[in-house]
Amino acid sequence: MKNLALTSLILALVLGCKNSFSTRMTADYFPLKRGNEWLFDVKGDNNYQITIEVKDIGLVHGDSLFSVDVGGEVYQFERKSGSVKRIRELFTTYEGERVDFGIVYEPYLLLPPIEGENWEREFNLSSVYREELLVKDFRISVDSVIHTSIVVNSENYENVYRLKRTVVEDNDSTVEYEWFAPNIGLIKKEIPADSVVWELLSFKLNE
Amino acid sequence: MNIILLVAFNLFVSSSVPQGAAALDTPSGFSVMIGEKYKVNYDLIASYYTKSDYEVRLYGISLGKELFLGRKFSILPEIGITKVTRTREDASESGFLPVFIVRFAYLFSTESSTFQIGFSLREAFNEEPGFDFLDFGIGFRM
Repeated sequence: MKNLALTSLILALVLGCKNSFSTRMTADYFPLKRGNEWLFDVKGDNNYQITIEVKDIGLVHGDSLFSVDVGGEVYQFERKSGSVKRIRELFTTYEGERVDFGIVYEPYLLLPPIEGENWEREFNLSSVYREELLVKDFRISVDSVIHTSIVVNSENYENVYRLKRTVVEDNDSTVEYEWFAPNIGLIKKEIPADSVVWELLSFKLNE
Repeated sequence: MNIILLVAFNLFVSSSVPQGAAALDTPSGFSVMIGEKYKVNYDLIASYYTKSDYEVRLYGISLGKELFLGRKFSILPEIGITKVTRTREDASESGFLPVFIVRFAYLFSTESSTFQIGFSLREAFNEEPGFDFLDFGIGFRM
């Protein structure tokens, strides 16, 4: 009886404790379900709000494809076990006309995130336009992944992963810092070159 | 001292860890019962699973008390702690997970030892239920 009581006590203590590590192992840092919505406060030269909404889901070769509306612009993501890829159409405007280079699958997130990891991918594409060869260089790199906690709009988020994403398209490069919270997704984004900060105001996730 | 050796063949079940596909798991390494006075079992836990370039290794220890239902069946509830290391490429993180294990065994007695078959259920406690293991094993009690 004494042993049973002791075991029950230990079990209750174990059951009652929150485990940060297991949260990081099992949580979804990029929950994509139809109808999920995130409302962001965007601060910069102009202040406004932007909504991200998961609009549509398809299935190709067993992998889920998601259409995500980001403030009126549609992004497409491919969700596989352990990774999320953003599907980008690469094009350029040449002599006033659009020239397409095709679709690339940019490695957007590795799941679940691990502190200290980094990845990159480079695409070198070409297209012929009126017998002229045009080239497109596209490179994505992610590094500086750290595990942290952060306060966003007075809300404290723990077990957050922050990463630095650099996108180089031809001669233009963009650096963004993004924060992802467990079972919520993106909660903050900074674009230092434009002095723009996105901060999560509210979100709605479908079960 | 009563030593129980258990060789476990694993069937891995994981519903909420999408990265786990291939797995090697031996939660019931061996149990050592120290004297009849303290009928407490200690288990060593070692697990490994991987998919693509994502790997998880678990090592740990658990303890519990074996309860017999008649002479043939036994139930062994245990609690323990595991150290978990997860790795992708050169990056890795480590942490600790408390676990709860229930092992069920059916015993075939012989003259010198007892052959047993059984299975164990393991739950690693976290906010998200479903990080589970199911293991089948055979072994001898010596």
